[in-house]
Amino acid sequence: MNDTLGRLRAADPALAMPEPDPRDSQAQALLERVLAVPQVSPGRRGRRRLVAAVAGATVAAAATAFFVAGPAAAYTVDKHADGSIAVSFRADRLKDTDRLNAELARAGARTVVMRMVPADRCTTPLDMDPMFPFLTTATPEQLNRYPVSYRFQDTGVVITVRPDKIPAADTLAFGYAIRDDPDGRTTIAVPAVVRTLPSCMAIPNRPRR
Amino acid sequence: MEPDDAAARRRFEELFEAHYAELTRFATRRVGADAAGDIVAGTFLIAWRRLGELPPDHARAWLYSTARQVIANELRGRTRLQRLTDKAAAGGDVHAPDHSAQVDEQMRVRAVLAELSPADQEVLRLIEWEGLDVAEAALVLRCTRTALKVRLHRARRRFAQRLLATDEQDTSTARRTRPSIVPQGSTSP
Repeated sequence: MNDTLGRLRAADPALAMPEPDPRDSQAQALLERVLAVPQVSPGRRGRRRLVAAVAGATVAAAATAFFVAGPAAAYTVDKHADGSIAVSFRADRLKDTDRLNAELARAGARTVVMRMVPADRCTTPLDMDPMFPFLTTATPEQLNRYPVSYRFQDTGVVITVRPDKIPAADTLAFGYAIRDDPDGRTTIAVPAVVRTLPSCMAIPNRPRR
Repeated sequence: MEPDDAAARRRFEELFEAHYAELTRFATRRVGADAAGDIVAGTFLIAWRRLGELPPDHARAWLYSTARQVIANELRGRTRLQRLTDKAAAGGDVHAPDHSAQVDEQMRVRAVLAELSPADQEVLRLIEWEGLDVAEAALVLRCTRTALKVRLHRARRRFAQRLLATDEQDTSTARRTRPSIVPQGSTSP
């Protein structure tokens, strides 16, 4: 058996990679980015868990999306001095989100941008953090509590993410889609603070008028 | 900076220095070099935010456990799920230099590993590739040391059996398919 274990160790794919150096510039940049994020006090985490446990079952239904008439390049990611991260993209041109998401991860945004799919191709409900339900209307105080705000500009979707406001175990899933409606194209955006990252996000139904 | 903050920062920097390389290797094995940076960043971010919860005696196991969860989230959530899974199954996108025989052997061994149950694969990877000891692996897999030893023993045995069976199969296949050149008038190849 020793021989077979030796062969297993020799097949380690990491043997061929260069030794990662925690003092190289890339690692040090990562270290600085991490240290720039506020820590979570144990007491705060405890309270949040309790609220989530109480409110857990009540929230999932209120899936209201945010609609706006659609606009005009790939994407930008900018990290600001206050820790917030500004993301902009054009929904109609953003076909592959992998690079954008890699960029977001490098920036520590804890945000995944997903192209939404028709509801019949994505039937699993979002595992949303009950602390952050979807809002149809919001006061400035509510918006300030949320880790994400966004707006539609003529050139696309502009999102501001506050990673420090995303609970430690959560992720911001930001779904987007373009829909051709009789009265023109519509950009749909769904920002969801989720406890488990979904494998897909469904385009929400049109709001009743 | 408050003294507590300075102490926390120093502790985290030591943690980072000690475990950055092995966590990068771990993530590369699982999801490939492209996504490994994201996994390491996510793991250290959680470690920093929860530094007070890190068990001083088992920080390494805690980090590996957290990294596994970050990877699971990554694999669940991203549209590149299949690509990552393919890479993980193939042992990441780190390539050995082009020594055909060596690469063949590595691919064969990794293929045998990939045929085992996920539980067998996990314990073998943690022990044989990551270099965790039994106590650390038991913490990562949330089982007792005794259970871990049993799992490891059985996984090693199954791996060895399959690998040797594959060797035999390859040898016999090679015999059947290898061209034989026999000179006229000769009675043996």
